[in-house]
Amino acid sequence: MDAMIKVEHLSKKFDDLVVLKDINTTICKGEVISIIGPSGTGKSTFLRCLNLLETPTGGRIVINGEDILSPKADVNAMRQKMGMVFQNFNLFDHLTIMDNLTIGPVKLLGVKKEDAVARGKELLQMVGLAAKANSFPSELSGGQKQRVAIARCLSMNPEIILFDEPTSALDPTMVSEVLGVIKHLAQEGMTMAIVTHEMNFAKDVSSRILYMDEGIIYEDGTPDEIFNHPKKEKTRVFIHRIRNCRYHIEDKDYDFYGMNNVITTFCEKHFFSSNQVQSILLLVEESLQLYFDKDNLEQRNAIIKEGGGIELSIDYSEKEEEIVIYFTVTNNLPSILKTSESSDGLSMTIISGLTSSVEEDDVGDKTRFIMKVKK
Amino acid sequence: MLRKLFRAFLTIVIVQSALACSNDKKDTIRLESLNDISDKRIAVVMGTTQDDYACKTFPDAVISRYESASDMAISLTQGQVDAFLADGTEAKMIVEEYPELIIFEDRVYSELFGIGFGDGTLRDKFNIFLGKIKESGQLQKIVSKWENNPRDAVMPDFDFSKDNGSLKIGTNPVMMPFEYVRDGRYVGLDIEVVSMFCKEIQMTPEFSNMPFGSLIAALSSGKVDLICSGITITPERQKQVKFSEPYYESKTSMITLKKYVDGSRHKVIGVLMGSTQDFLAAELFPDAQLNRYENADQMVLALKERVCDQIVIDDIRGEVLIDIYPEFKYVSDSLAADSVVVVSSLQNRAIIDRFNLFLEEIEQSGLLDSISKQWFVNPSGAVMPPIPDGKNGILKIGTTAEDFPYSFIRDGKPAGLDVDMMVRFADYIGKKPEFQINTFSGMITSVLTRKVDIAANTIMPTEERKKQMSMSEPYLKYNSGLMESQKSAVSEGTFFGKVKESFDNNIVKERRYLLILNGLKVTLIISLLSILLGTILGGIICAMRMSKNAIARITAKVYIDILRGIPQVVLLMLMFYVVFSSVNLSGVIVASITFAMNFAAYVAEMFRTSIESISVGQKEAGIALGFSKIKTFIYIIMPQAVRRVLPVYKGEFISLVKMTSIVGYIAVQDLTKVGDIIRSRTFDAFFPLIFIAILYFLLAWLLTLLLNLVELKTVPQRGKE
Repeated sequence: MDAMIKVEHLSKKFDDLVVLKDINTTICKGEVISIIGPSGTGKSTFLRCLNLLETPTGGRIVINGEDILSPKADVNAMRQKMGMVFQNFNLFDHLTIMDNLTIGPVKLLGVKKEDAVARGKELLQMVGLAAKANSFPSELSGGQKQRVAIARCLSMNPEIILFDEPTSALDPTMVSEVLGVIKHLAQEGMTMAIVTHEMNFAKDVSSRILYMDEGIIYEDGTPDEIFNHPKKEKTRVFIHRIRNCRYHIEDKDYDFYGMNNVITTFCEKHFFSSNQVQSILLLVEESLQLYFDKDNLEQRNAIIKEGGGIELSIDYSEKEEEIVIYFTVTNNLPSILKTSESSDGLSMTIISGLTSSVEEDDVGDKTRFIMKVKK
Repeated sequence: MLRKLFRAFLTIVIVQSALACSNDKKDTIRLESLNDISDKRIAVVMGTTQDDYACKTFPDAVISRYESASDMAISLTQGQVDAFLADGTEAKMIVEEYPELIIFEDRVYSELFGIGFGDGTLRDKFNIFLGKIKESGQLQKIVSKWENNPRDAVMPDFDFSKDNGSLKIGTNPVMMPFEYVRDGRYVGLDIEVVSMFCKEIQMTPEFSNMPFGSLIAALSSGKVDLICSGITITPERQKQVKFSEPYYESKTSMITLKKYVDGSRHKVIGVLMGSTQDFLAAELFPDAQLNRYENADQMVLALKERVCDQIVIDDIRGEVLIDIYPEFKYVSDSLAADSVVVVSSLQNRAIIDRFNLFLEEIEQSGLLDSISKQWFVNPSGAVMPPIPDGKNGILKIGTTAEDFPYSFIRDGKPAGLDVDMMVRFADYIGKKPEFQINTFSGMITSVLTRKVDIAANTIMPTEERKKQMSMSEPYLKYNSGLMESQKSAVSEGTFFGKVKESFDNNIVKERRYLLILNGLKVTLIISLLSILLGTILGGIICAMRMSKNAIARITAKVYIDILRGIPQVVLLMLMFYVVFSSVNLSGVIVASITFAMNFAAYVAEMFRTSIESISVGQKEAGIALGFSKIKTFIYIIMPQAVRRVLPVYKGEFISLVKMTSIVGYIAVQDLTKVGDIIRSRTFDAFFPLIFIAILYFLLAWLLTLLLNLVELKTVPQRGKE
């Protein structure tokens, strides 16, 4: 496939703040690219660099073979072939809907007014708003406005449409009507780059997903790759909307109440039920009982302390609604699963009762004890 | 809402009546003996023996305390007190300065002055010194000097030695002739005596100015060594102050308003500013209140409206007025003689010389006499000479056209004796006369800035004017007399009858409506020109103000700040008399340029605000579509900005139309000036003003309607509303 847009080492900084470090990617004709990532990572900035609403501070952007950053480039002509749909719609408030759709073609492309109006009617029909041709933007709802904005882009027969968080300003009831139109466009083969927070939509409609973080394209893949098998940790954390809590235990004289406080605060922040909170606290307590078992307590304590203590980490995935508790400790310490065998087994029973799975794995010179809390 | 209005109205009526009543009460004060003062309002200087005396002697009076005798004098003339006490010599000087005041009682009481000391030894030294100058008669000489000539008595110079240090002296230098400030120096009887003492004991005096009431405290606390301030020796003070022997015996007088004493009703007399009567006023009218007027027409109007009881007016004008207004009559004639001249700038002496030659000719030939007669006997019918073409150029003549029958507007054109004479003079020197009609002060300014070559408007040759301008020989001499009106201010006739009469007089007579129409035209032209130029200029300034170029931005900011910081009247006169002084641009053009410049400054900021108020997304959408920056502005930003700015723009527009009323200051005859001119002919204050106001209102209203139409076209949504 021909690369329509080539981006090489694109960088953008605002005064001292570096937003885009080094962006490299290509967009080919017919592709539907969704750009996802945490807030403030430069997704919108990247998109706005493509049609030069922001001026890059470094790098190259080549569109259809033309370097658009060169002083000879005809930027206006380039923009006429790229449409942009904004988060805040930005319809022209002083013009009717029909005028919004015809002003571009008539004033910029030299289209005759009647032809522009006819095409406008077609487009309104396509987005389901034929009845609103003579209304003013102030009379429309958000979802309707955005659909008109899309129609306005289409009136210019663009080669690619850029969507900057098209549904972020809409309430859930209107989101679907807009996403429907975008899906329809994708089916018709329109090349699109969409910055969005709607993960399901992105998974559905895109041919490629770009996950942006740390000022670069952190990970790049098909929807299946990104959503089901993210290669990088940060991607995974983002996809699964994982929230995390950590606590360090140095030795047997750790602050029991302090630790419980940290755990409880984390749980309250994420609205865990009191059952869940109790379960987690109990699991942690019993696990630590096993680590600091009465048999060979001094020896065990010495090993633990020498090994850098125990790292407690609780992961909560909003997406899967799953709570996982991790204990990481030096592998000089014998596994606590063995400990549970030799002791009265009460701790392990409790643990088994509250978890859906219990595992142990090796990570470098540490052993990791993993408990998945029962739902 | 209505109730509130009614209550406000009622309050106003009551307050006005109360004021009126209290006014009457003041007028009925009659003082025949000191006893009559006992329950009135008496003023004294704070902390002096006057204070004690008044409190003890007039326990029922309302005593107010002041810092000095001059403050009390002013208060008395303003009616805030009924009488005040002052030292005898001071009293004499005050009644000289304020002719409406009189010494009611010469010697209310007398007292002895002493110098106050904190240290007994110093006091004794002073007494020895005092004894010496009393015996030698030196003290008497000094006292006589200061008593007889308080203002100009010579204060000797002293060569003080610094051997024994300085003597700190406290004084309150506001009492002539004892201690006061003249030419930045402390002078007076007390000052001279203590200075002599300082010389005697070889010390340098160091004077400190403090309120009278603080003197004793300063002495007690040691801040000063000696106090001298016309201080009376009293037993109470002797407890705290070591007084010297008395060096002066003073008497205290009581001063009050003349009108309280002679019982005659206070007359208000109008005189012309700069006339002989103005200068001799105090002597001629010792018990009258004088109102000074800039031109005769204003003065006559004042008489007609009973603002003045009498006016001093020349016999020529007087006769003409008596013919027209039978209620006027002379009370006394030949009060003083006056003359009038024509003037030009000091540099243009040449034209005055030529005028003097011309004047000699027409005097000798008897022409001056005959044209004078025709203007004085039949001003409405007198024939103006033909306007010459003038092959030698144009003669610019300044006049007010508000000085009947010397200079006034008849049938829309200037006419009158002075005007006639000027036309003939122009012909004499082969030039075409061009009259610039202005206010009197504007006319004088025009002469000084050489905007006009010569001015003629019964200008009297005052000393000051002689210094500033070239003056011709007098072309007219007349006597002035005192004239009064016998008709009461309330005229007979029904309201509608009066309205119809006013209408007739002010609008119909002499086809004055044509004048009004012309004034309206001028106002309209200036308004429209200014708005057009101003809007365009405003757009340019706005673009500069919003540009990325720092120079353009700062220039625009400076322009806006300066133009918004200068009052329009001042700016207009600056432009006409200074910037365009040598350029021959008509007043209408100068006015339009000035108003446009001012309008642009305000409008630029309005445009900027309206543009900045449009959300940045609109611009981004336009750019994203592929519009260039300019096209985005024209098709997307500007239409939205226009509808946002229209409401405030309308207001500024109307403001400008009303502001054009100041062009009278630069000799342009707009609607307001026409009103003035008519008023000066008909002496009707009420009708022309109301009529002109209504015309302005209609003009503003029509223009608003026009703008509303524009608004409708650009904002179709508002039309739906």
